[in-house]
Amino acid sequence: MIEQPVEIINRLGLHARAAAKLVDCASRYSCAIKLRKESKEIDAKSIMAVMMLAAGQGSKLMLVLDGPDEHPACEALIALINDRFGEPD
Amino acid sequence: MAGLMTLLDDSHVLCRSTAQSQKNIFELVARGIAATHEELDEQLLFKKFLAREKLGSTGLGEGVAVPHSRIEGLEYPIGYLLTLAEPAPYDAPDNQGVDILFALLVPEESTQLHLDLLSEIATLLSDNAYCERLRKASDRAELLALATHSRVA
Repeated sequence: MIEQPVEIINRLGLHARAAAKLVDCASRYSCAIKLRKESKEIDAKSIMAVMMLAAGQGSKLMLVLDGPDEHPACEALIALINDRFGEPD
Repeated sequence: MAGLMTLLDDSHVLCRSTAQSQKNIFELVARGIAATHEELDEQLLFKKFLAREKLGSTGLGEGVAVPHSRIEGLEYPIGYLLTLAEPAPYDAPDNQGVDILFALLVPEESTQLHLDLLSEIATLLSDNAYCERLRKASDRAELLALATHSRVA
């Protein structure tokens, strides 16, 4: 199991389109992937759940991955978040 | 949490619409919102909803979608709730048709408010039992009552 802190850095935060990209990326891996924000922990493969976090710019989240492909999954998600989900700012 | 449904003007609810396509749906929603907000142009709203879908579907799966757009100069968010008599194709991630839509317009600069409203909508519409009640509502008054009396923990 991996617990990896991440910060949402894009200006718009985890809005619907960014949430869809995150879920799309997470769903390519077989390991369980959760996102924790304060006391809330949600399934990172569910778009409704990810949108429920309302994670704005500067939100500090914990990625929790558990399964055989947890390492590549973790790297891919961090890359996506740090790439601002492909957004300009 | 009661805040969400205050976005719905009494006339911003449409029950068991026979719309059969995304374009039909956006036309109805754009017309409905423009009818009560003369500062908003129906064609512009329609184009905004379509343009947003081109960036990626606002379908959330389980028959639910949240078409939305940021609008420059808008002073406060506006919502529109729509159920369909039959699910319409929507390019949703689970490839299911959509029959419950909560459309949302938000002021261009209201980033956190936008996230908070999406969160409220997702929380509400991830409740399958609640969605079933919305689907079964047979007229506008019943749908509006369900929407405005919703309480989400």
